[in-house]
Amino acid sequence: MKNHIIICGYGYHGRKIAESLEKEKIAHVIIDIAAEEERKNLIRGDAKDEEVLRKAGIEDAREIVIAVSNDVDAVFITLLARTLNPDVRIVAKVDRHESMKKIYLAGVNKVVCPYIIGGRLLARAVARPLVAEFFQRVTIAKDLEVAQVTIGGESKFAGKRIRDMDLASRGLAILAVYRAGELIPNPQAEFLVEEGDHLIILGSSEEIMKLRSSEKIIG
Amino acid sequence: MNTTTKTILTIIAGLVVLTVIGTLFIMKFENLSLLDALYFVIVTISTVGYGDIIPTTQAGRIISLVIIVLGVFSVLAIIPVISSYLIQRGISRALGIAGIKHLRDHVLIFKYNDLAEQAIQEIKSYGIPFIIIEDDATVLKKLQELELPFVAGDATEERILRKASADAAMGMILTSRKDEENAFVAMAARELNPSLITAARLEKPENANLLKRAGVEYLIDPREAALNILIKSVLSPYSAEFLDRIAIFRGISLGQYRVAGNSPVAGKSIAETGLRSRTGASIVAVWKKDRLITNPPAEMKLEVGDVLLLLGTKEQLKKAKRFVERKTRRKIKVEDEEKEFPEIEVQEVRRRFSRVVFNSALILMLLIASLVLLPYLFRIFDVLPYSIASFMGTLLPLALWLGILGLVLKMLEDLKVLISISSSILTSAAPGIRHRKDLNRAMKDIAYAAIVGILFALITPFLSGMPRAKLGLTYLGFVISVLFLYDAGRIFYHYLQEIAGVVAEKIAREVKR
Repeated sequence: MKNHIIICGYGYHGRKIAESLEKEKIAHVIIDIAAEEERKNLIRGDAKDEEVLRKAGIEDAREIVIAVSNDVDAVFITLLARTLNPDVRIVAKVDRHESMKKIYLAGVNKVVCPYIIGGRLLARAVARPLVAEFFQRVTIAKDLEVAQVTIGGESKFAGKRIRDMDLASRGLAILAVYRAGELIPNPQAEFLVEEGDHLIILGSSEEIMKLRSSEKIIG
Repeated sequence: MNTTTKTILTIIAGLVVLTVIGTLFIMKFENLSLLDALYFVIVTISTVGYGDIIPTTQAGRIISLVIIVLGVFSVLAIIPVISSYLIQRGISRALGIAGIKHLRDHVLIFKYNDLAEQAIQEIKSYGIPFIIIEDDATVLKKLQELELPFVAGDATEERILRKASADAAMGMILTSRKDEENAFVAMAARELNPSLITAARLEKPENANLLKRAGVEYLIDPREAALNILIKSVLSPYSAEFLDRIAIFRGISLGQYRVAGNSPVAGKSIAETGLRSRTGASIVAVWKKDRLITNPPAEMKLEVGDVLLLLGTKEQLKKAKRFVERKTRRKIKVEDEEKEFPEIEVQEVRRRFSRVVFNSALILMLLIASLVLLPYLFRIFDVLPYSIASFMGTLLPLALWLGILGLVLKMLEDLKVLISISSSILTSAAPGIRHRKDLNRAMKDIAYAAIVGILFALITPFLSGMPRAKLGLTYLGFVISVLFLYDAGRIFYHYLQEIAGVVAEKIAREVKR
């Protein structure tokens, strides 16, 4: 297997991530030490074991998602994965916010902590209810979507200014642009979109789907 | 009773017992009257030690030693405790924490844990006061250490809820791991205050209905919230990064602003307001009477009562807030200001104050050392060869005096910072925001005058051999103090005049009506 995604831990998070990868037909391998069910892409073993990671194809994987229940294990797996494949993208979940710094030092690319997001959303729900509701709709209800579209060479958008894209009439707005890893928040109407830009677009899921198919946008 | 009060009371009780027993023993062994014995004991404990009464018997000396060792140490131990307690209380009052009775429009936080910790971070960033309700003894101890405001007890009891001023609170965040506990507390709190906005942690998704029925408006499942970002960061990493940044307000954030009656944007279309070009922030959504319109078209009219959801960097949002609420500033409290909680100041005050106490003790010790010990040392030096002895004889006092000078300077600097912090806290309660800076200066002036007075009073006795220098110095101190006081008086005079003017104007208006 090549260019696949490895999921460590088949608990609440691992299971849901595997489900959505299945839906998108993205090749993936799951590692879990104690999973009970039988799946052909499930490896029973300890992800802290180098052999197990190799068996899952860490050298050729493009991404590894670490969603284990123990932060110390998560940091260790990150270190191991980074050693075995310096280019793999590592996404991890940690439970304690104290672990954030350690796992970043271990070489993670993206880390999510349920308590940080949960706590912030709780506070926002009380202090800034509309901001919280907006956020909730974007991440959970999903009638609204914050989507990422990548501008390919053939896209009609490449080399155009935002004002000439005619997005407003479809109820779409560009919230931000990632260019060469840099975030450009709130690009102005004169902003010139280039090939390779990642646009962060807000709109209904429907309109975003239409946009993807009609404008030959990658991603 | 909290631990600070307990410590203080224990030490005071110990001192009283020591004084009583010490007085009785001294009375007996030294053959003194009750008043004389008490006088001796207190003079000794307080480290003043006049030396007019001296123990002459063996037993009396031993007792004096015990009194000195126990008493002096207790007094030294109690001073920082009391002073830090007083400072802390004063500051918490100024910040509206300790005066739990006066809490208003605050947020109640049920239970303290990892989740609550993060919620508090964000609540603090809005400048909204909060109070934690917790019943677990170990957690309570931690709260005390962290100096977070809390009420100890069972949150389902009305008495405890009232203690946390639940009836005047604006919202409640329920963070218990047990869904049923959150539901129960939410019901009890809403019974006391039906307009309370409640948000609860959801541990088991199947309990969502239970919590909704208990009246909880917002349910947050931390695992689910994290899951959504996790999945997104696998499938579309850039939008996940963007959402995560908004979620924890890193670099970019969302703000909500209500269009008030006299706002410059009321009645205009989005294009006409020029909000975007003026501030850089963009309108992501508009709430019109509970209806959310995302990506509103540029022609859409903004009406009074609409709530704008703006996206931008912190600076852009600040500008936008100023713009949207320009004419309404006086009416609006500190609603959307991202005010930092002056927690750092509390720590700063504590650090500086303890340093001042420590330094003054050190200065005292060095002074005593230089006055008492040096002559003995010189006698020892006489044994050494002349060149070494004279070298040491100059170096040692020089080093001592330089050390003292350095410490005094350090102490003055600390005092200056302390004064400026405490005067800004004191004046923050005064009405008439326009004059806050002036009032601040007045407070500082008074404190400086006091310090100059004390300093000169301390220095002049050393100059008893030089009457002219003493006189000059006294005059100098007097003039400096008077100048400071004059400045303070001038400010107060103007301030009072201003207030009188306002009152007179009000009366005049009433009379007209």
